[in-house]
Order: sequence, then C-alpha cells, then structure tokens
Amino acid sequence: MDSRPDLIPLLLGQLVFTAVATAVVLYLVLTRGRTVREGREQAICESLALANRTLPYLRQGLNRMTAKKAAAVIHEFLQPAAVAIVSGRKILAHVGAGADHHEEGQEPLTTLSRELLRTGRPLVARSRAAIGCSQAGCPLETAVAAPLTLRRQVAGGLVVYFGLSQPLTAGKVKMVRAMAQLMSLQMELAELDRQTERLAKAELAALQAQISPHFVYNTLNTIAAFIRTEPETARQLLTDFADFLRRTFRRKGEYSPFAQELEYVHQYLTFEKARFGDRLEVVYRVDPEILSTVVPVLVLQPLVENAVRHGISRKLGPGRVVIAAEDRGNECWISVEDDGVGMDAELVQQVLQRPRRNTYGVGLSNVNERLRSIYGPEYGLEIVSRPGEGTRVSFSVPKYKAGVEI
Amino acid sequence: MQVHWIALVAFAGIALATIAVGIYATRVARTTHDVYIASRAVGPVLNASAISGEYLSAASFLGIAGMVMSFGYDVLWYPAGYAAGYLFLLLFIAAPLRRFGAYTIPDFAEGRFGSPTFRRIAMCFVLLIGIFYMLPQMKGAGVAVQTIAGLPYWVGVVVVGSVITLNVALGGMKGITFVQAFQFWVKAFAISVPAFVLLAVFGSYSAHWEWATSSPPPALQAAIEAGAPGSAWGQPFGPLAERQGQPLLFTYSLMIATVFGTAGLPHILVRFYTNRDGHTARQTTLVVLAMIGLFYLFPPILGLLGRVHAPDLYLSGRTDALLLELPGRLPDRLLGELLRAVTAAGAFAAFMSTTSGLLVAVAGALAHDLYARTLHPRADLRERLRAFRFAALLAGAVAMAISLGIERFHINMLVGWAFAIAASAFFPLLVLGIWWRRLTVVGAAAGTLVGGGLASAAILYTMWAGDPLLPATTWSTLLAQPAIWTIPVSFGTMVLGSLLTPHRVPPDVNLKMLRLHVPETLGLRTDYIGE
Repeated sequence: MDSRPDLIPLLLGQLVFTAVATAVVLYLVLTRGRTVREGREQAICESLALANRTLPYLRQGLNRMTAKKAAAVIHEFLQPAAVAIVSGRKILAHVGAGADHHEEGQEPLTTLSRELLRTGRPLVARSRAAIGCSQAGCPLETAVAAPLTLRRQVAGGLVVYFGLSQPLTAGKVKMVRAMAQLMSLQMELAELDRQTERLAKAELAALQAQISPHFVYNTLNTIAAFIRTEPETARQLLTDFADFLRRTFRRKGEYSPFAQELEYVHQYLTFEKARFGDRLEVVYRVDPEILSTVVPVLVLQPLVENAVRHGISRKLGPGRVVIAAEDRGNECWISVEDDGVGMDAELVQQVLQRPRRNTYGVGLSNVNERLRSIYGPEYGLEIVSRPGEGTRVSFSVPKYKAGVEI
Repeated sequence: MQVHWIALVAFAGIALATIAVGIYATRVARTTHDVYIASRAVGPVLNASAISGEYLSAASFLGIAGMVMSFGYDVLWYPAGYAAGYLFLLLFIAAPLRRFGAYTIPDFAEGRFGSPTFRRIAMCFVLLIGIFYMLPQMKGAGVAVQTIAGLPYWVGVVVVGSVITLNVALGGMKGITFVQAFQFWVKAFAISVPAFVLLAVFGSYSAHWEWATSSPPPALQAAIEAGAPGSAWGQPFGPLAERQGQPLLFTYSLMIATVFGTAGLPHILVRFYTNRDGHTARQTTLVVLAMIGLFYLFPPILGLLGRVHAPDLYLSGRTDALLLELPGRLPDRLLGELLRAVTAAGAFAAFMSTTSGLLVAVAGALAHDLYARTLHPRADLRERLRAFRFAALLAGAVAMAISLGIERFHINMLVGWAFAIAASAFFPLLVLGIWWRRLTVVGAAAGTLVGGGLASAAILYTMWAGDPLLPATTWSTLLAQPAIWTIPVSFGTMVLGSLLTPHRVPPDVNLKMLRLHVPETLGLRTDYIGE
C-alpha cells in the first residue's frame, strides 16, 4: 500500500482529539465538587462540605490526633481567632491564636472551658472576663462553647474563640452549636461502629468455640472403644484430638486460605472415620489452583459434618462423601456431596432458614448467612437433595473480593 | 496444493489429546481418598511450565522463525524482549501482586483504590488486549491449516478457532495447570527436535551463516534478486528497522513494548494467583525466565535455516509458515513428513494454550465484571455460568471474524502491538500502584486511559491506514511502535494526576502497602492488620 500524503494531518487530528478529550475528562474529574454556587446555597454547601471534612476524623473516635485535625478544619473554615476541643480534664487540641499558653495535653486555663465541662451546657462569653483566661495579654476576646455529648453524657466540648476585630454574631453562635451537635453525632456513630465490630468478633469467637458436643462425645466414645483392642490407635487418636482442639480454639481471623480449611476438615474426618470404620468413605476432588483462595473460616467443616451426621450416620450400610472444589475462572465452586438418607424439599427450606434449637456447632444456616453477607445474596448455599438418594450442598466464592483478606 | 496427511493427523491428534486430558485425565488425577493437602499445591516448576505453556503463543512458535527469515537478526529483539519481560515481573510485580491476593488486573485496580469505576476501565483494556492478542493466534491457525491441508486461510481460522472456543465454552479449559504445562513441553520438543535434525543433515550453524549472508546458494541468490533482503539480513538495523523512518527509535520502542508488556497480559497474571505465596511467585518467575530463554534459542536457528533452504517463501510471502515448510526440504521424504507432524503438533499446542488462556480471561471479565456486577447483579450460579459460556462464544466469534481481515500482518508484529497496548495501559498502573503511596485513583485511571487509549489509537490507525512496513517517516515510526512515548505519557499522567488530587489518596494506603510488601513468613499481617 502507498504511503498516503494525507497521513500526517489525519494522525495529528486524532492525537489532538485524544488529547482534548482527555483534558476535558481530567478537568471534569479534578474540578468536580469545587463548583462555586451563589448566596445562601453556597453557605449551605460550605457547611455541609465542612461537616463532610471533619466527619471522617471524628468517626475514628475522639483523641488528640482526630481532635487536632477536626479543629484545624473548623479553624480554616470559620476563620476565628482559635478553635479548641477539650475533653475530660485536658485540652485535646488548640488551633490558632493563644496556642503558646493554651497548651495541648494540659488542663484548660479558662473558666469557660471548665464551666462547660462541668455543666455540659452551651455557653457564650462576650468578654475577656467571661472567658477567664489566667494569662495576661491573651488575644482571645469572645468565645462560644458547646458540649460534645456521647450517650447523653458530656464527653468534651468545642470552644471557638474570636479576636478583637471579629464581632460575635447570633449566626456564629448557632453555627458553633450545630457544629458541636454534628460532631457528637459522629462520635456516637464511631462508638456504634466499635460496638458492632466487637460484637462480630465475639460472635466469631463463640462460633469457633462451638464444637458440637455430639462430636466430642462420639469421638471420646470411639477412642474408649479402641483402648482395649487397639491401644496404639487409641493413643494416636487421642493425640490427634488434642491437636484438633488446640487448632480449633486457637484459630483467629475471619478468613483463611482454602487449603487450611481442607486440612481442618481432613483432621476432623480422622475421628469420624475411626468411628464409622469402613462405613465411611471420603473422596477429595480438589483443583490445586484454588488451594490459596481466601474463604471465610469454618465454611467447609459444617458442610462435611452435616453430610456425615445427617446423611451417612442414619443410613444402613456404607456411605460416601465427596468433597469437591473446582476452579471456575473468576470463581471457585465448592461442594460436599453424600449418598446418605437425603432430605425432602420442606426440610431443605428449614435448614437454610434459621438455626434450629438444640443443634450445636456451626450450622448450615450460619454458613449460608455468612456467605450471603460477605459476597452478596446470590452467593448463598445451594442444596440439592432427594430422600433416599443423598444430598449435595454447594456454593461458590469469587477468587478475589476487596476486603476479604487474611 | 498438497495435503500432508501425517501432519494433519498429528495436528488433529494433539487437539483431541488436549481436550481429552482436560476433561478426563485431570478429573481422575485430582480425585483421591486421603491426602496431605499441602503437598498437592502447584509447585514453582509445574506452575512455571504452565505459565510458559500459556505464554509461548503462535508468535513465538511460528512467528519469530518466520520473521527472522523475513527481516534478519534485527527481529531478535522480539524474543529478547518477550523473555526479559519476566525480569521486570520478577523484580517489581510478581511477589507483591501475589501477596495482595488479586486474581486479575481489574481486581487489583479495585482492591488497591476501592473504586468500582476504575475496575470497569481496567476491564475494558483487558478485553481489548485479550481480543487483540487472539488475532495472531487465529492467523497462525489459518496459515498452519493452509500449509498442511491445502485449504483456504479462512477454513483454518474458523475450524481451529471454533474447536478452541467450544472447548473453553464447555468448561474444558479453566485453570488446568497440568494441560498448560504439558503444552509447554510439547512446544519445547517440537521446536528443538527439528532444529537438531536439520542441522545434523544440512551442516553446521556457521556454514549456514556463511550461506545466508556472504555466499548465498543459487536459489537464495535468485530470491535476493527478486527482492528478498541481501547481506544486510545479518546486520543490526537490518531490513526490519531500516524500513522505518527512525531505525534506532523503532528498535528502542519495540524493546520497551515487549519488555514492559508482559506484566500487562491478562492471561499470564492470573496464573500467578496459583502460587502459594509471594516467595513462590518469585521462584516461579525465575524458572519461567529459564524455560522461555531456552525455548527462544531455537526459532532464530530455524529462521536462518529457512533463509538458506526455503527461499521460495520470500516470493510467496508465506514466511509465517516456515516451520511447517522447512521439514519438507529434507532429502528424506518420510523423515520430512514426520518432522512436519512434530512441528504441526507444536503449532497447535501454541494456538490452543494461548487462545484458551485469553478466552478464559476475556470471557471471565465479561461474565464476572460486566454481567454479574453491572448488568445483572443478582445473577445466581447457573446464570453466571451461562453468561461465561455465552461470553466465551462471543469473544471467540469476534476474534475469528476480525482475524479474517488481518492476513497481511506478520503474526509477530500483531503480538508486538498487543504488548505495546498492555505495556501502556497496565505496566505503569502496576508499578506505581505497588510502589508509590501517593498514587490516587484519579491519577491511575487517567494514566491508564491516556496511555492505553493513545497506544491503541496509534496502532489501530497504523493497521487501518498504512502498511506498517512501508511508510518511512519519524511520525509513522512513532505510530507503528508507540510504546516509547505512550508509556512515559501514561506514567506522567499518573504522577501529575495524583499530585493534583492529593486528597484522593486512598485512606487505607498504608494498609495496602503492608499487604503488598510484607513477606508472609514474618507473620506480621494477621497480628498487625488485625489490630
């Protein structure tokens, strides 16, 4: 093909087009949120923006670092002489004029702050005397103080000081009070966050401690039965059982590699095999590619225990459990299948709906709920069962999900 | 045209064997009664074989030898760059990315910056690179079938393309490490045996070098007179670079594209997920370097042999078929046919492994990112599986359709372009994302868009408007091999964009850095991050 004379203009055009398009996109992205609006709307926008900027800090709770950052943002926005945040018996942050003697980490110098912390009432100081700073020559003339409350208790206070040239208007007083309320709300939320987290951790710990008593009872019985006939086997089983228990109690974290879950199941099955002998056959069909995939802890063992306890143990004659894990591109598919007694459709529904009373251990419903809450409702357990033929419980997890980390 | 039955049987045989191994053998191999699970993990050598198997495509197997024959030893920059890319993976990317746990580049984009929008941008480039990289594979299939069965080009594209696409769509090719590793050894065997046999029969390498450069035999002399490259063939800045406006610029740009492109190939990075931890990811990369380095010794030798013994291919313009033609030049006909069967099997392994890997990656991106996360967020297991199948069929069909129109481009050149796009879109993202705290989502997204967009635009323009070999201006060189400016532009945009938007640095950046860089053996992560 000939080299065309019109090549270069065309190419230039394209490059210019790409460059301009990129510039426009970049401009839009970079200037988003900085658009100036007029009048009242602007004031609202600014307060909201201010709130928005202080919130993330306070969401982490009230301490010297977060207080300092929040105070700095308020100072930048209201442009007063100084902003202080006090809590307990200390000044957590003091940003602006007078920082030389209103030292952070020290007890408040002003009667205003002490009064605020004592009464928990919003206060306005219209004179130096009302502020009551013990230092001569303090540049702070007037002040607005508002309490920060946490669960109806005074947790601290926000004090905004103004200098000589800054008249104290009703608008400013309102603004500071609203600001303090907003900050209190954030601290409430932070506390709530921490509580939720604690609760989740406690739940997980409880979960891990919940080894089914049936299982412990059965295992100990099995070992007892071996002591006379095969003392060596009994000894081995007992050691394994101790190891298993230690592992169970020591596990931490919400997630673990799939390989670890498999090993745990393998260990668990040692005891079930000792108990059932030839009646229980276990087959693994595992793609090695997904051994390192991160999954929620204790996601597999309850499925296997369910297959053994409700599928195989109630069946006459030998049974078989197939544990399969398949690599399916961006997801992996995990299933536990038994050829035991099976369930009817009604029971299948019940199993997933709620934990039944008098059942111990981590039930299928718990696994189902955790999967759904981590990955979304479409990732729950799927149960296929027919009475007399067996049951298959399966689920799939994405190979990577932000936040699902060891 | 003559039909080479033995080669055809070998070609079909390796196809059936691959599919059968994928369906039955792995299923049997993975079924056990009692296992020590940890011992079953994929080790570095096996995984390295699989990565090499997936990486060595039609470009490496057929393309390099053909292009060496066409343009001389200048072409060696291609294999050198293809192999050296792993050095950068080894040094900067493999271990941290494995520690991060991301499966695909879109996963990394979302996980590192917490932005679903950026994830979608990255996904678009995965699709583009994937489809682009499939084209040369399809072309290789067309040329191979043309040579061994005497059928038209499109028949090969459609038949081989359909076999591979159907196999992937029916679930035959997901993460099958053993199959990909097996394909590597098939390819390594199929490229080395002919080289040894031909050298043994025709004489030493140095003798061939003599013939190829200073004292051409009559047939080659005739070809040179008819337009094939002369003694410049063996020189640096020979016929390949010399056609460009700026030979030096072209050469550097080519090196940059191939060296930095490896890190951005969607089907290669997913293989690193199989490694147990960052340390084994590094070991794997090192073994890959050795394996690929060994493999690339042979295509240039075969290119040299081709110049001396098959100069008629210069005239027919079918140098991409060199590996399948060359065995026919042996005096012993039966030996020639047998060797052709070996190279045909190797060629099929090459299309199959790379195309399957790419199809899985592209279909995965379509089904997982586009369908399940955007179009139909509540899709259940069955719907997602159906979406994957449909996406595989669609991507295969698109690749086949486009390949029918790209016969005139050298296989290797097309692959080089796919590398240039991958390098411009993803290499800066990975390097800065892993090593620079202050990278923001705005900077990263802008850099990916600008770098990848400019590189694709330049290459598509070159493909559409000009013969990539003819125009001889600096501009056309920059367009035909754009990596040298698109990668710096991408880096620059990322840095500038990030510095302009300091408030968009992800708040959890320190945590991410810890996750990326702290070795697992220190055990810091569970305790430290857990706090």
